Amino acid sequence: MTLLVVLAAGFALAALAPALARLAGRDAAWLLAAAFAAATAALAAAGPGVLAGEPVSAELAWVPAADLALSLRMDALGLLFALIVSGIGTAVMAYSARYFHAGDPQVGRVLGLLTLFASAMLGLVVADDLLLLFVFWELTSVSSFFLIGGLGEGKPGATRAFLVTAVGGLAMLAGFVLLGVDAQTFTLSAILADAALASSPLAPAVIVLLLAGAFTKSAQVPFHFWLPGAMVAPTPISTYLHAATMVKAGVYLLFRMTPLYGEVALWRSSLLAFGLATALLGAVVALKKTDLKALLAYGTVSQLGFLTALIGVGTPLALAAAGLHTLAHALYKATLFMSVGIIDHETGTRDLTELGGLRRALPGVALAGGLAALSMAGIPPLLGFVSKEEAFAAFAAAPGDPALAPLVATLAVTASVVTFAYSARYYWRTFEGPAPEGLHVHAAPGAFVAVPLVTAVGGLVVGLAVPLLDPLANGVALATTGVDPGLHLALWHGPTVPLALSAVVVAGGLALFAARGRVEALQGRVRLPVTGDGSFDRLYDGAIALGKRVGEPATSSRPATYLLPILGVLVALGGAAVAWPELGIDGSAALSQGPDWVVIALLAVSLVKVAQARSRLAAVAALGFTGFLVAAWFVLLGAPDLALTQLLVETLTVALVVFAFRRLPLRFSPTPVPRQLGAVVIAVVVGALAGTATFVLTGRRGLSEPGAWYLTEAAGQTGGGNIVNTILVDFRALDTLGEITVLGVAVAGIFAVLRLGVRVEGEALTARDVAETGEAAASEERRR
Amino acid sequence: MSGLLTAPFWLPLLGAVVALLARRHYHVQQAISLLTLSASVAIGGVLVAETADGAVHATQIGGWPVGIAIPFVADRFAALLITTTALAALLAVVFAMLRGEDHHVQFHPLVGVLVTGVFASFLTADLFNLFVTFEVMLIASYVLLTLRAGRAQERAGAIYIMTNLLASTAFLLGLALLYGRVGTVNLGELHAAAADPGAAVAAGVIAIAIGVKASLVPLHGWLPRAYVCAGPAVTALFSGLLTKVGVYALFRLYSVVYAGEPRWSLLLLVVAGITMLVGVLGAVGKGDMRAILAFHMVSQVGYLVLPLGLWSLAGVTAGIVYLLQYIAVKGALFLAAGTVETVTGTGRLAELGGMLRTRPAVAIGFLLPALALAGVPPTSGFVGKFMLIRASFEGAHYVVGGVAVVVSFFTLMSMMKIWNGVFWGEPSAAVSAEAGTEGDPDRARLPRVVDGIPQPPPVVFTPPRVRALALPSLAVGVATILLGLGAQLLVTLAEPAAAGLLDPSAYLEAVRGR
Repeated sequence: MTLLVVLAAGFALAALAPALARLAGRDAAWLLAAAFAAATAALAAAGPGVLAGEPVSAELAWVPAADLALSLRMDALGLLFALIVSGIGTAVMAYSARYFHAGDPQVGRVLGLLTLFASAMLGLVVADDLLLLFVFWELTSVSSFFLIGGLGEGKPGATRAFLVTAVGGLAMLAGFVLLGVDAQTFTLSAILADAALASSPLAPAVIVLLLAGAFTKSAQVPFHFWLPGAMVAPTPISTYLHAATMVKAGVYLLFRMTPLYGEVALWRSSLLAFGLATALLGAVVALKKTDLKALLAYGTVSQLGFLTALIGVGTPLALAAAGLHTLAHALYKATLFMSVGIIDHETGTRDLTELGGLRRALPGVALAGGLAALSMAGIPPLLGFVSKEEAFAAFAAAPGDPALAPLVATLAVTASVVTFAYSARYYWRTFEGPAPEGLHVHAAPGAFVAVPLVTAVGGLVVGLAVPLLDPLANGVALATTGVDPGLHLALWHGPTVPLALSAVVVAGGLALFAARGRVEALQGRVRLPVTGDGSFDRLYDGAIALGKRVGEPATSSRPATYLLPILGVLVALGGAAVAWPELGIDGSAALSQGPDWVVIALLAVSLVKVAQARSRLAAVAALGFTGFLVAAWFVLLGAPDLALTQLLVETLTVALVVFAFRRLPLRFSPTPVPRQLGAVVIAVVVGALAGTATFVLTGRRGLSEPGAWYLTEAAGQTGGGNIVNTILVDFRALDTLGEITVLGVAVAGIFAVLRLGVRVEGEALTARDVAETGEAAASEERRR
Repeated sequence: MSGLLTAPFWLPLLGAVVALLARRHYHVQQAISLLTLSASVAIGGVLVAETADGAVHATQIGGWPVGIAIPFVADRFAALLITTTALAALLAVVFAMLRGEDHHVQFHPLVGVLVTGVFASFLTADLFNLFVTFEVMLIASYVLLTLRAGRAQERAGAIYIMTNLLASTAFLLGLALLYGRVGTVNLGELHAAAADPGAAVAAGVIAIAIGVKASLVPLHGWLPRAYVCAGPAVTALFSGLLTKVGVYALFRLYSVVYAGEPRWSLLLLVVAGITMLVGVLGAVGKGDMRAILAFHMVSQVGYLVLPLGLWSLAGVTAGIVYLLQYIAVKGALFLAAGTVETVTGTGRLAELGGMLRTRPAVAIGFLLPALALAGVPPTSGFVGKFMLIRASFEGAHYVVGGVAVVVSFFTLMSMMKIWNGVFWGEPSAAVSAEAGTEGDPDRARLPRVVDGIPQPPPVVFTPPRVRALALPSLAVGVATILLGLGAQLLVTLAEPAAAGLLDPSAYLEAVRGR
């Protein structure tokens, strides 16, 4: 119940937020912060029960006929993420109340979208249905798109972020549907309990598709580039979506699917490989960025990789550590982003080369930023230290190939060394050292600075009281691996391997920081041959170029472009039919008489004449002759009234065509020989197939049932002696009515086109039209 | 019941005649269109209700014996399509009125004839009559296409009519061959006729002809070429009606004549997949709102015929759910594009921009149906697409299901292309220039009195008028979200229709008057 109420309230608040902002301006954010705090409290209240092994769940029907259900379930993993979403959400809302200027017109939109996002994100982490998870997943992507893009100022970043996550999201949808079809249910908890699914033949495909979703969303290499690009968004958005929560949705999915795939080699190796590559690359790039938001964004990329790899280790200890590190990262990274937002706000820049010595002007921010940087670097007594220690322990005990543990531990430590270095660089170059000339710093309002201070101190307090987190960390491990590692978190475990690794990190990080001048010089010389943005843009432009080529044929003004495919498909059907043994083509003539062949021969001759004709009149005459031949054929077959109709139609047609040709040149314009040949081939093939079809399919059965009925009944029923007439006006009068309508509309249409030619002035009438009309009028005069 | 069955035919046709007679009274014409279309929606609704539990109603036109008369039959599938297409037509006509596109004496009569052909195509159970109703539809659509005189329209009209006449010729040839082989064109007598290879080939010719009308790849080129040249409201009208009739006829043909023969499944899946892909790629490459949307119609036809290849209850239900919501979604997108064109005078992305700032209602009116088209949850488009993908995977048709997913992505990409080009960013010159109160340039050139008939005053696009223009697409946009949340309704409506297609015995019995 709690879950449903919180979610419903979230979506309702999202709809109301713009109106609230109109009433209260930016202070509406305080109200939203209060609501978020209430949600956090409500979720936390459910915490003890959840950690005691009784997940909270709720279910509402959605589309039962399609097995879509609004089923929610919060276990320890869901609780951890839900608390991060609502808790950091509270901070970000409170922060937003002073981040935006009073009267900023975008406040309503941003607050509404942020609330929408928060609700979707909350739904995502408590969804107990694969498709519901996807629905919320897409909602977070959509709200992220509009939050990054604003009114269009962040267009490129928003587009890249959205399209990259959409590719992954759709892959994930395919994976979910595949998994659901395989499991015959879409209920997540039921699927996770079905271990047989991991060895199903579909499993590798599902794994690849799900990883595509997780890796794009959580910015793993090579999809990481969208995350730094999303930094054009206002800082509250970067803090909330692109540091603390949304980018962790992919990590959440990895956590969530671990019970099923945690033991599968493909899953583990992918996670370790992509995760560690991302951790290293992100950290190294962060080390050279001078834009603080870009530095932090790459730091986020690195930490997401670290988490991915940690989940890939797959042991209960690793999952517990990953849960803890997720929390630690959310706290310190939110703090760091909010601090950067304040710095940007008060100094007008967030470029390291223009900053320095801010500790004196912004002591509160320096304290918050410093604490967070310590946590990020993994220094006791902050939470980041504890989580990193546990992570090192997990990496060092990675099961599988004996060479694996040393390898992954080394890589993780290396990434952490670089993390230490960029943390130090961030703090030092922002808050310490001399202030550059011309740097003007406004005093930050207390309420503004208070928020990052709270989250920073939160990281400190939790670090000091870390044993309190035992049940949560163990609960996450239990929920994802089925085993309670019985972890006892503490700042001091005695001289252990992880402690030694931490010492290596500090020493190495300090060395790297001390040598920062040389490191930066080295990094300045290295240019990556491919960039994510560049590759993305090339693919995007390539897709559009391909699309242009695919759409090209449909821009032609030549009718042949459109008619040929139709004939081609018909010919293909005819060819396939001829080659189809089941058709049993019978070569004997079914119903024929001697004169038929005479008519056919004459028809062939006259058609050749049509094709050969150089003048329009000759062509029309020859075409008319074929019509008369058909009429003659009707007579031979004993259908004089049909023949009469055919004769009338043919005469009228010829007369009309000749009338219409009056204004056209006497002779056809010359056609290139290849085109003529092509036309001949097409005509002969189509004609031959149509003829064959007629020959094979007609005249080979007795009188049809309706035919027999007409012969015996028609006259009596209608009083009409001519069956064709009775069919036209009685039995199938509806068809006749339809055809009359067609003729009537055709007349009206021609009338309209002719009238409009006269009526509309301007562009519709070209000079040529006017000249032609003049000519017509002149010839009219002459005739009179 | 029989009166109700034929009403969708004679009511709009009668309306067309009266509207033509009332050509001096513009408002009377408008009222007639609104009345007949609303009545058609209502009749469709009654038919939907009357076809509960798989009930099928039939009437033999003229009271002639079964097998001689042309039967009109309403099952759930036909009833749903009548209702939906009537609604789509109503929206398009209201939009045409708002932007003054109906300022031609023939507009309303032609709409009447067009929907007559459409509704009759849904109802008839006689293949020759289907040919006739197709012709009725074609000729009305041709004239509507060229009502807006101009070189481009004439050229597009020529391509449109030539292509469709060739298709009609093929249709007629197929009919003759089928009759020659089987001795009837009555659907009631044609069940499983295609088990005979000769009849299968003959019906194949008909299927190809219908495939042109439905714009299956590679028979699709005429559609993106011609549709964009019509007036915006007319494009919206066409999008809701014409290709859908083709898709409907393919379903009927496959259900009855081919009796769902599984040996054609692979061919149908390939055609569906290629149609989806080619259509969406063509859309991605275009730089004009309506051109993008027109190519999407091709792509969506691929989704619509996918169920033919799946031919399972889940698949066909999914297809019908998708079809019903898609008719509304695509109509709304064309209306949104038409609104942009109406106020700015252009639909080219390069000349537009920033309309989210100047016309937020229009922007949202585009955005919501665009998300539905791309299948973004929680819109109705998502439910339809999910059901289709699921049905594909359930039938182990992994490739075509995968294609459907890939095409979703490109759909999203092209919708974002429009969004980025038209609505985001700084207002372009064309957008800033439209101060909100300009006469329609098309209209301004027309004289006030033609042939003694006083013409309605030119439409002036005041801000409330522009808001009203955005309203239809906005309403559909909101409806797609509501339908997404309440998709159960769609599924329960569609499932009996799908069951009736998979097992057409009730339909056949009704046609045979038993």
